[in-house]
Amino acid sequence: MSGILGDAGPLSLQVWRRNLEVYLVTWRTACVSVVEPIFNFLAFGLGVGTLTREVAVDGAAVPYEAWVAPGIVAMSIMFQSFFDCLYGSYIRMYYQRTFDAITATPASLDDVVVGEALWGATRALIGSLTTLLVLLAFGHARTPAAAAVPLLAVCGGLLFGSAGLCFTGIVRNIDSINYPLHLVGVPMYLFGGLFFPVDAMPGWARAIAAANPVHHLAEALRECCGGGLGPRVWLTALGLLAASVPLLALALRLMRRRLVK
Amino acid sequence: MRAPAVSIRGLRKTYRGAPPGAPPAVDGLDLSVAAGSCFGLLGPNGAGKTTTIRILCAASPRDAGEVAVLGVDPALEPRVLKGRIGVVPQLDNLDPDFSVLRNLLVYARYFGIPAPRARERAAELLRFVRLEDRSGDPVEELSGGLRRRLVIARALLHDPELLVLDEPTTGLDPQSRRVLWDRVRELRRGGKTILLTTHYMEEAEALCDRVAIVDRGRVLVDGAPADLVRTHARRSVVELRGESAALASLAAPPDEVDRLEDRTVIYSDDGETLYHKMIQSAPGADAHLRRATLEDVFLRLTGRGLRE
Repeated sequence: MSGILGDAGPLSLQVWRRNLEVYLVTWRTACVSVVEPIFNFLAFGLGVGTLTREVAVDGAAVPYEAWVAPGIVAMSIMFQSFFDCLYGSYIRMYYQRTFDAITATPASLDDVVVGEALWGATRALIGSLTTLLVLLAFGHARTPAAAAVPLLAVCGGLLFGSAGLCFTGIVRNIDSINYPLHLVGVPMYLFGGLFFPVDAMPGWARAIAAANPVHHLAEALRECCGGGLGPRVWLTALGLLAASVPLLALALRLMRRRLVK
Repeated sequence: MRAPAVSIRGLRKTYRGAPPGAPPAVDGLDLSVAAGSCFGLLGPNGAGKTTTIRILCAASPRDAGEVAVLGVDPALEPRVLKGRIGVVPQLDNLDPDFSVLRNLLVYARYFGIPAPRARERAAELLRFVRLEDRSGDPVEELSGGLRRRLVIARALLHDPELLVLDEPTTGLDPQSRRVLWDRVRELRRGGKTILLTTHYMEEAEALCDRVAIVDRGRVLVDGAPADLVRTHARRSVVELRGESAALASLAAPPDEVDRLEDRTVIYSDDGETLYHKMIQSAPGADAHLRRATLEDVFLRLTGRGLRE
């Protein structure tokens, strides 16, 4: 085990490709997840939007619907990658024994885990693009700067996917997945300033939000969906990517501890 | 003579997290499998068969001992070794979302087999396991026997020198089992080395050139099935039910006897004479004569008590 990502190599791309092909073969069920951003947008943008018409951003008033739209993209990025690398990976590891099948070939467990994380990032990418389409249809994010959304999605997806894999490495059984999902995942996007500005929260909650990657992702998405490509966008992408490396290294350790007996 | 395909010396393994004082899963196991032969690893549940197999397939690390599989140490060069062996695991791990054919094509990529070659090879192997008419079917619709055959085809994609089968016929009906035996024999004729574990002694007798009976992490005996039967269970067996008046009536007590709760098992080199003497001296005795089998050897060596 040499580098920070163990002995993971090119075969992790074949693991990624396998997951992609399963996704394409089961496209009917995959399509259902496209409907979700539509529901989210209708509920938050149009529903909550009737209660709060405007949000103050840097002294300027922004219509709530336009303000919340990038937050829905952030939610999709986080949820798709975290959920697939948690629930999906657990099913592949435990119930389908796919990891056993793959590690009986020249591919190693490190290849498998890195391939899963790459797939998590891909799920985030797909989620961000479908959500972006919904936003465009409703007249939002119509700016060339929105081209930065996929970049932020891949970087964020790698981070949240790696976090999901860390939990997959330690949960006792399929029911225990509810702990990381509801005690870590859900609060991260509910209190990450996706649906209401963090400025409205007390100081301690703002401090927590400042350490929440979903919050930074949402802020960067707001900037590029609003037409800006300032340093915040690039620094956030870089920060998410940099943070996912140690997290993925931790996921590798935890999965090795779980599966190499 | 060719070097052995598998050579294990003094193998030891205790699982991390095993309760303190628990016996090791493998405890000084020695094994040698000749290249081109079919070798059976037999033993009760928990004897250490699967652990041994996992170690030699580079799926588990070992604590001590020397292991060479096709001349490669699985701990040092796992990727190289895994590219040269085929593994049929105890539990099916096919991709349930893929068709029969796609299961093979996707798996071939992990071995670096180019797509056109993988297609040829998949077609060849589907014919070999008699699944050529099912190549488009979803794997979820296959019966246990067909799934097993597909797993075997998958393990052969890269034309491995050694094929390892962990309980290949557990849970299959007699017809499926025989098709599978037939395929294994065909592979052996083709020059592959085969290492299998099984709980079915007739399977080991039907397929294996040599077997090893393993218990408590060690090899108790190994040899050709017929030799083991002759050495450890004689030629024939007389089973006697109920009271043993017929046994007491014999002038000379037989050489080897196992007294069980409901019957007495007598091992003899000349069972026929013994049987007739018994029937004559105690007419009406519930006795029957049969050939000694590997199962007799197995039970005599590993005991009749339940393991788990």
